[in-house]
Amino acid sequence: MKQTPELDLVQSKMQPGVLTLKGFLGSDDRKLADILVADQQSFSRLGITPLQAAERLQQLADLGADLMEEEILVESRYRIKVRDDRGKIPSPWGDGLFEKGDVDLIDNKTGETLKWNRLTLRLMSVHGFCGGIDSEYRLDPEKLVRILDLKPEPQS
Amino acid sequence: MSPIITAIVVLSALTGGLTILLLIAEFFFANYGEVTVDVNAGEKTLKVKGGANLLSTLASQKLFLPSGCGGRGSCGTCKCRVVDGGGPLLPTETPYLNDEERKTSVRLACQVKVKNDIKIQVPEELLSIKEFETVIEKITDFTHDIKGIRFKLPEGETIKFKAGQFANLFSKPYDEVREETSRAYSISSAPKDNKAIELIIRYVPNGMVTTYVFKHLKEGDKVKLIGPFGDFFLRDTDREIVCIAGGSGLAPIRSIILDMIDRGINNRKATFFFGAVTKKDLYYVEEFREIEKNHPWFRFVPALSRDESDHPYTKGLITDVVASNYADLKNMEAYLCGSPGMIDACEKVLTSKGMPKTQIFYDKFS
Amino acid sequence: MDIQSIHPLVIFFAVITTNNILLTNFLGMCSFLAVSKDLKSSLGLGVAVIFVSTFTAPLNWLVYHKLLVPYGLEYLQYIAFIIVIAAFVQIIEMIIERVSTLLYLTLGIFLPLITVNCAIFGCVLFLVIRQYTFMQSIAYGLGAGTGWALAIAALAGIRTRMEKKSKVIAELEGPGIALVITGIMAMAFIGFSGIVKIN
Repeated sequence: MKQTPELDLVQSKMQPGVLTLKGFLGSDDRKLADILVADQQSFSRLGITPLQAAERLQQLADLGADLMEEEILVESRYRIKVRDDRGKIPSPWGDGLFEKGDVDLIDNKTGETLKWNRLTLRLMSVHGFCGGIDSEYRLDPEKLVRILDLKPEPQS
Repeated sequence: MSPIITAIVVLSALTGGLTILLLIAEFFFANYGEVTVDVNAGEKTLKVKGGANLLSTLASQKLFLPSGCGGRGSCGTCKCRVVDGGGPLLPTETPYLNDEERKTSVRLACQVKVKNDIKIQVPEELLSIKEFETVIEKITDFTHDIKGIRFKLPEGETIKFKAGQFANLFSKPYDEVREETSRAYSISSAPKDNKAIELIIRYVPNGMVTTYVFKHLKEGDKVKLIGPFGDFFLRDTDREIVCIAGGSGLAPIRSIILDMIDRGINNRKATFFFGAVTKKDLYYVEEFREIEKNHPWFRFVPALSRDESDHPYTKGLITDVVASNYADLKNMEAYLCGSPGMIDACEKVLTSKGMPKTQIFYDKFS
Repeated sequence: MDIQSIHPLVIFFAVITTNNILLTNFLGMCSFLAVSKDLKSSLGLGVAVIFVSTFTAPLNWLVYHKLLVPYGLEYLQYIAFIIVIAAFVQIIEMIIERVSTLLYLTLGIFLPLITVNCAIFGCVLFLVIRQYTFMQSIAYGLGAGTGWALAIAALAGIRTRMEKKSKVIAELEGPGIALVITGIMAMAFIGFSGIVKIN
């Protein structure tokens, strides 16, 4: 994938302090095209799709949602806390606004944690963007497989 | 003359000549001269220097359209109807406009370039929106993640607003945030208290503006506020009032109740249900209890959802508490303020008790 | 045959048809392939290119013959020509932004890319190498730009038609089929070569 001017613009919007405080890239200084290709290859290698992972994460978020933002134990394994904040964040790809409200997940089985929101799920499922290498909101494909027990879907 | 010097002189002369040519061209083409902006069919006529986008052009004339992203074309909030002029619809605008809006010439003000005379239509209330360079008079820590701030307006200035409306707070550049950003917060002070603005702000982890407010603001600091905005306010009817809020949503409800007291409205019963998790999340309790004592039409019902017993307040989930208080809500009005999830849940409960949707009011910030 | 005796009008018509700067000399291909998806923006870009080449050709002639040659600075021609072309592209950008913001946004990066469009630079270098006169370079500049514009308009028209009527296999979509079409157009123009001698 070549880093096009469009991706340059998206990457510039992902910097800290532009659309969000910490930005979407952490301290990752690779070109966005390279980040996308690397994660795309991870997904292929693991035999799962970003959409599959995003759907499962949204399902968990729906199960863990509580009116008073209390932590809910989901499927006896995941401790999930869903924040309900007002306002929307624009997508760096310019394709819409997405509700705020981070989801924090602690996996009792592996001890690992995940953090995401509607925007980061959309960036993963539609654009294949999982976050910079040490971003707080990174949805690393291998980590997702470990935590969510994702299995390759049968080829149609 | 040495060939190197000749080369340098000739190239410099060429570059210099072209630069002059470019400056002349810029003067002719990039200079749009003075244009007229007609607002609401002549109600207000602005003479401005052309060339900038409509949003910032209007802002420079102190006419503030609401904006969620500060004019960067990422939120779609700055919509206004361009009756005449404004050029063709741009691809940067189309994702934010539906068919109805496209048919009625609604545009995104931050994308419309003001090159010629232009006629626009904006909601009436916008004409009374002002920008205030306030000074922080007092910061109160209400809970572990909610602060209340009282902003004093400059000498001689007042704000005119309806209880329930909100204001935009602007953060100055700090740390990695290089441009000013703004977010909307409901006004919690009474309209009568018009030389100041009180806001209640809840910290959002990684939030651009709440991080600024919580980590970089102190009493005495100058803060820019613009307002009032919004169509959340008490309707002029005789119906009994049900107010439901959680977290920082208490703000507009407090403003509405204080306003009812100031205006002597005592013929409408009003009950304020405030949902929280534990008693540590409650605030303004004494003030509301005092109001209850002095105004029999008002009832304050804090409800704590966590199953603990060391408090005198109602136990239960706010939606359940509201449901158990009423049988038939057909003739009442509701004013809701809180997170999107809470508003949805409350609306379900209210409609299940017979309240028509047209009698349920809530603030839609974005 | 003495090049300088060729009538400018002959050069003008020749460079549009038989010696088309794009279809015969294969110059100016990158923006040609990218912008030719849409007829409106192709015409817009074409007009911009005509403007730039028409003005920079004679201007660069003057710069070369009146400024560089008298001082023995021919070796600076590349730098000088690019500076002049860059300045004119800036001017056309200002004009387009003023006249049509929509076109300005649609052309996007391809407007400043005219600066490094080989068709324009090639046009300027040819008039130096072939030692055209001042009038000939005006004709050549105008013709080269017009020829380029006609070529991109033709390709845009063909691509738009093809999109509606033909099914292109996925692997050839976009630049693939565009290059094939351009190749076929160029082959048709090869038939004209040699009819008119302008170099």
